[in-house]
Order: sequence, then structure tokens, then C-alpha cells
Amino acid sequence: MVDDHTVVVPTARMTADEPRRFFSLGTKLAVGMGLVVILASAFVFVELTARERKNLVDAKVTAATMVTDLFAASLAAPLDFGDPDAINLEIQNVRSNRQVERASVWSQAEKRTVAGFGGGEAEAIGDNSEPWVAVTADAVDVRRPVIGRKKTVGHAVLTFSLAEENAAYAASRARIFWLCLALAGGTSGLLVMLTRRQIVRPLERLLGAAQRVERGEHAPAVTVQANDEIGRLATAFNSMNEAIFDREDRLETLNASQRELLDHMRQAILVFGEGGVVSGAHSREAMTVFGRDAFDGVKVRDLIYPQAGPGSAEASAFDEWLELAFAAPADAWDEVAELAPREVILELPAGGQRVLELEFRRIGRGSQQDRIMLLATDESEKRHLKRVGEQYAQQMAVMRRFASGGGQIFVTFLESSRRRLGRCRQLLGEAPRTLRLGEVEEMFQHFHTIKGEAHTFELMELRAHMHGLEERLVELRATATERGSADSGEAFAGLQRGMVAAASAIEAGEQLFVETSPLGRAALELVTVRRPDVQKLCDMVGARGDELGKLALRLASRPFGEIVSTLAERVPTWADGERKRARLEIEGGDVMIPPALARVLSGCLVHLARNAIAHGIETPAVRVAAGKDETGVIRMRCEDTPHGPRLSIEDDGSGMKSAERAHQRGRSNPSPNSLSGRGVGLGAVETELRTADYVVVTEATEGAGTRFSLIPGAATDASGGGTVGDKQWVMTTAAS
Amino acid sequence: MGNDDGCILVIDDSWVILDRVRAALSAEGYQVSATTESVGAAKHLRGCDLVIIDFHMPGIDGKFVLNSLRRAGAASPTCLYYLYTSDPEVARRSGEFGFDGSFLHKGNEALLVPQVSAVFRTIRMRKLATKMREDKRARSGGLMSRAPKADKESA
Repeated sequence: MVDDHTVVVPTARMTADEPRRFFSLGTKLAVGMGLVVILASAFVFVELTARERKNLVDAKVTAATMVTDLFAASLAAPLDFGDPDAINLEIQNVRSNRQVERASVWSQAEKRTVAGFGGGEAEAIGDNSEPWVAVTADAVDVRRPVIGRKKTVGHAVLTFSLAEENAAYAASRARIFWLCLALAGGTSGLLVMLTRRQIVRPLERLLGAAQRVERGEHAPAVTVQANDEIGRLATAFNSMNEAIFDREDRLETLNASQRELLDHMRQAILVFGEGGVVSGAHSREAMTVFGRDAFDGVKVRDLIYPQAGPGSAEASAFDEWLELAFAAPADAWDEVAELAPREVILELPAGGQRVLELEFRRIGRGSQQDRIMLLATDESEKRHLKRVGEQYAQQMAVMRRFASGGGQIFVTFLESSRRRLGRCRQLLGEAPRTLRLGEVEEMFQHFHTIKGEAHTFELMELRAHMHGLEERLVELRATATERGSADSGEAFAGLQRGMVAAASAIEAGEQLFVETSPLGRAALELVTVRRPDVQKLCDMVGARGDELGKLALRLASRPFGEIVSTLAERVPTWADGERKRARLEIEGGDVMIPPALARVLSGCLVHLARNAIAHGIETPAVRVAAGKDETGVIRMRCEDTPHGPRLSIEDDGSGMKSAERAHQRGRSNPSPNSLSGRGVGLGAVETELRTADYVVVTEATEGAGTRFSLIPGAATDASGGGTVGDKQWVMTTAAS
Repeated sequence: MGNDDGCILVIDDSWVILDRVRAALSAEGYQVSATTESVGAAKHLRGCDLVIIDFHMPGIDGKFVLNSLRRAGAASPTCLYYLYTSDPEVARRSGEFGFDGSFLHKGNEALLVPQVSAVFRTIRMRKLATKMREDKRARSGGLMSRAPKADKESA
């Protein structure tokens, strides 16, 4: 039973999708017209043949009637007088007519057939004398009364053969048949030809053009030859065709413009729908950034987090964001977009990373988001350049931290790692033995901690050794957990070797630290103390000249590397402010600077470095034109001498025009700027250094650079300076 | 990136790692507390949004620390507990241990920052989703039907 809400689908609809056999319109029209023409021809044939036969029979009947009337008239006297010979004579006369097949003569007086032939003589034709004509398929029977003197004396019946008429009819029918057939064929052919010419061919041309449009080709206009429905259809099709291609052209132009615009934006642009499935167009950059040609059906999560495991915090957060983004109303989009990931880092198959800056934009006119557009900008190159620029500063920052006591963290790590390894060696023992669970656990914890700390300091070799030691302990740990203890037997040798290798890696790390630290090995020995305490101690006993006094002075001394560590970080920044490039190189970082010089040296070096940037180092373009590297170098060296540390500060810039002028207060700098004043800086340097009994010697080579030497007063002769070859130099003593 | 409202507690047996983690996360604007006290860490929990716990610690593991912190109940109900490890296998099992998730690549603070950032985004997403649900309920007339009652109570 079907209820009121049931929709009954017609059977024909259910099979509507099945392909139907094709019948061309021309075939259908030809068959239809053929049937109509055949029916019409058959009707004409029947009608014509019927008329032909009727005409033949009618003519026969007329002739037969006339012959019978004459025959009856000729019998009037013989029958009235009862003369048989005369009757027979008339019979013979009529018998001579080949058309008469049979004859009978009835005598009213005798009430019998008195004469005849062809079987008629024996036939009792009755006493009905009424005129009568009967037509059969083969003959015509005619009866006529014989009128004697004032009364009917009998009647005669003649039968005429229709053989000749039938033969003539058969011949006519065959002729009519062929005529009708020819007429039907000709008419059908003519109609088919006209239909094909006027309907089928124009429709086929339209169909061909429509199929080209369907394939996306620009079909030429269909020629219109008639001003009828087909002609109007062709005109409408041509207009539609032009309209379609005009729109497609405009769309293509628009798409090309958009793609060009997107490609010029150098962004990977994708569009995704609910569930994060990518669909539709994408920018060319997307193929480069995500390393694939096709995106349809790909999940955007797999593109931006390709290596994410099931517990990945970032990928899980993105999943939640996707759900929220498509559920949120349009007016909350700004808040939702704020919670999207801003950046992802893709690990490249060939090594290296790709940093992508992400931006998400909503697409949709309704109250919610239909789709979301992802714009990913490859920031790798930019980050790399920035990193290269920052690397130097970072290294310097690390050095500065180390120099100012931060290195003690690393030293502490080295010491604690050695201590942890020593404890592990102690736990492992000199020979294989049974280890308690607690001992195994303690070793594991030590290995694990060293591994983590090594990773922090990027000592990857040490980390790898510790990872290996952890792996070696896994089985031992499992056995000890199960039984409470485990025999170190098989693992013993491997653990011992691993710990020796780890100890070597710690030594290598220490060596690296010493090499990279501006303080050298001094960095390993430094401890953080309060400078006022040291100064106070120095003031109390420094002047005594005995061992205690000398020790106090050594305590108050500062490594040269510590004094210049901050400068190394600032030089590139200062140069950048002058639209120049410069870096600082330091040698002799572990030379200890006595307290009197250390007190003023930092400020003096700042002045000299700024001066070198302002007046010595050229702009990158000038340096390149002069055949120099575009980054200038300021080199600060310190070496120990019997009279005290000797320092030199030199740059590879243009060199001072006149080294002497540099020492004339207020005149050395014709173009003061933010870095250097009007020569006051260099004068102040001399003044400051005089307090520590140091002099400044300046050597300048035009085009090659300037060198300032800070020399202990005890090691120099007072001199006013001079020129040697192409070099100018001046020496200014504390007293000058 | 401002994360002034993000309060994080980090528990690890290595001060070296704690210092590095604290420096990296503080630079991103988070308020970071760090401790090596695996047993008495509960006293640092108040106001925390996220607790990051090392797994392998002397005589104790992160699972035990997590359970003791949850038992202490000093943290807000929305506080999340994440395991910090370099072992993908341990990270995979973090759910079994009772953690809300895990941070991988231990020792690489540069990779820790985006992971922590993702967790805080998740916290904010959940708050926003709750707010949107309440707004929707209010728009559909839920608040209108309660309004007379509220007026009555205030009277």
C-alpha cells in the first residue's frame, strides 16, 4: 500500500539513465513519409482499378442490353405466331455473336423454354418477364420481355461473357500498379530529399557546431540559408555561440590576470573546504612550495604538517581550528583567524627546511565560511639572510654572556657531566658484576640527563654517545626491573667503551669552548665575584708590591676578550646606521688587562671603533669599487709585553688624510655625525689613556686603513711623529 | 607575539634544560616557572595554564609526577599537562600515561615554541567555541525566556 507521502517513480523514469538507441531524424522522417505515400498510393490504386472495372462492365452491360433488346424484338413475331423455325433462325443469328455465351427463349403460351444454346435451351428461366440485368465476375445476364401483338408473348435471356473485359481489366490494373508504385517512390524520394536538404543537414551542421562548443572549441558560425524555423535556430545558435565564447574569453582573461597576479605575489595559494580538503585552482608557487603538481582531494593538514604524528600538538591544534573555522559565524572570523597557525616549518626531503608564513582568508557570502583560502609565503630565503646577519651577532652575544660569567653554565655542565660519568663508571665497576635495579636506574638517569644537556649545547657527538649508552642499558634495565637486579656481563664492555667515548666528547666540547671563547682557557677558570670587593682588596694591598699585592692586582685584572666582547656585537649595528658594513675581529682575548687600563680601555675602544666606522670604513659600493670586500674589518689585538699589554686597533678603510690632524681637538672631523663628534672623541681617548700611563701611536695609509697602537708609556720614546715613504704617522705621548 | 596570559610550569631534573626552556618561552611572552622538584612541584601550580613535564627523572618518572600533581588539585580544571620528550615512542604513549599531549624534539627550544604556541591557541579556541555556543543560545531565545526570572531574583 502506498501512503499519501510516497512518491511513486514511473518505471520509465527509473530507466531514464539507460542509453537509448539512436534513430536519426532523417530515418524517422523517411520511414514516416514512406508509409504515408504507400498508403496513399494503395488507396489510389484501389480506386483507379475499381473505376476501370466499372467502366468496362458498364460498357458491356449497355451493349448487352442493346443486343438483348434487338433479340427480343426479333422474336416477337415468331413467338406470337408460334413459329419455331423462325425462333431457331434468330437463335442462330444471335449465336453468331461471340460475346453471347448462352441464350434462352421462354414462350408464355407454352410456359416453357422453347429455344436456346450454351445450356440455356434446357434451363427453365421461369415466366418472369420483367427486364433484368445481372452482373457476375465472368458474365452479364440480361432479360428482356418479348412483346407481341398487344401482349407479352415471352421473354429472352442472354448471357454475355466478360472474358475480354476481365483481360482488359487485368492489363489496366498492372499498369495502374506500376504507375502508383512509381508515383510513391518518386514522391518519397522527393520528400526525403527535401527533408534532408531543408531539415536534416542544417540540423547536422548545428549539431556538429554544438559538439565543438561542447568540446570547448570555438565553432565557426553556422551558415544560415533559409528564413524559416531552422534558419532562426541557426541564428540563435550563432548568437549563443558568440556569447559563450565572449564570456569564456573574458573569463580566461580574468583567470589569466588573476593567475598572473597570484604568481606575481609569489605565494602558494590554495582553497580548501570543510574537512580541510583542497579543491579548485591553486597558484604556481603552491606546486613549488608543497612539491606536488595536483592538489584536488589533498588535505591541507597533510600539506602543512606532513611529518606530524598522532600526538602532534601543532597538527591537533590545526584540526580543532578547522572545525571551529567552518562552524564560526562570519562576524567571528577575525577572532578565528587570529587563532590559526602563523608559521610552519617543513622538513625538505633533500635536507634543509622551508619556513612558511601562513595567512587564512574566508570565502563566502553567507553567514558562515563556504571555503577558506590559504596564502603561504616562503620566508626561507629571507630567514636565511636574516639568520646569517644575526648569526654573527648571536655568536658575539654568546661570547659576551660567556665573558660576563654565562660561560660558567657551560663549565658547570662540563664538570657535572664528568662527575656523572665518573659516578656511572663507579657503578659499573672494573669488571662485570650484578647490578641492582637502583644502580641501573641511576646510571640511566645520568646518561639521560647528559644527553639532554648535550643537546641543549648542541654537542651532538656527545648526545649520540649518550643515546648509545641509553640503548645499551635498555635490556639490562628491563631484566633488573623484572628480577630486581641484572648481570652487566654482555653489556659491560660496550658500556665501558661508550663512557670512554663520551668522556672524549666532553673533552672535545671543552676544547671547542676554549677556542670559541674570547677569553680562551681563562674562561674555564673564571668565577663570578663582586668587582667592588676586588677593587677594595686592590686598593688595600695593591700598592705593597709584595706577592699579596701582585695577587690582588691579578685578581682585579680583566681579560681583554671580556672588555671587547660587547663591542663585537655593536660594531655591525653602528655600521648599519651609517649604511656601511663592518665586523670586529679580536685577538689575544685571554691577555689580562691591569685594573688601571681596564678602567678606561672599554670607553677608549668604543671611541676608536666608532671613529673607524665614521671616517675609515667606506660604503660597500666604494669598497667594492676599490677591490675590497664590501664588509670592512676592524681588528683589535692585544699582546703581553714586559711593560704591560700592548694593543692595536686597525681598520681596512680609506685611511686618515692626515694622522696628525686626528689628534687636533675640534679639527680632525670636518663632517661630524651621530657616530663621531668634532674630534673630541680621539682627544678624550688620549686623555683617558694618559691616566693609565699609555700613549697612542697612529699610522695611516691612504686607501689601506688606519692603525692606532696603545703602548705602555714605559715602552715608548716621546716623539712628534713624521712620514715614512707613503705612510704618515704621529706619536703623541701623555705629556704632549 | 604576546602571550601575557599564558602561565607555564616546567618540571625537569636539569637546570640547564630548564634555563634554556624558560629563556625561550619567556622571550615569547609567557610567564614561566621552572623547578627541578618533582615531588613538591604542586606548590607552583596555582594559576598555571600549562605544565610541561620531563619523563625521565632521578628515581621517578613523569607519569608519577603527573599523578601527584593531579591529586594535589592545585591547578585550575582547564590546566593542561604535556610530556616533554625526544623519544617518539614515549610521546606516542603520552595519552596512556594520562598526559593531554606531548612536545617532541626535547633539547631544541626553537621547535618547542611553536608547539607551546599551538597548545595556547587550542585553549583560546575552546574558549571561543564556548562563547559562540552561548551567543547562539542567547540569540535563539534562551536568555529571553530566563529574563523575567532574573528580574524577579534581582528584585
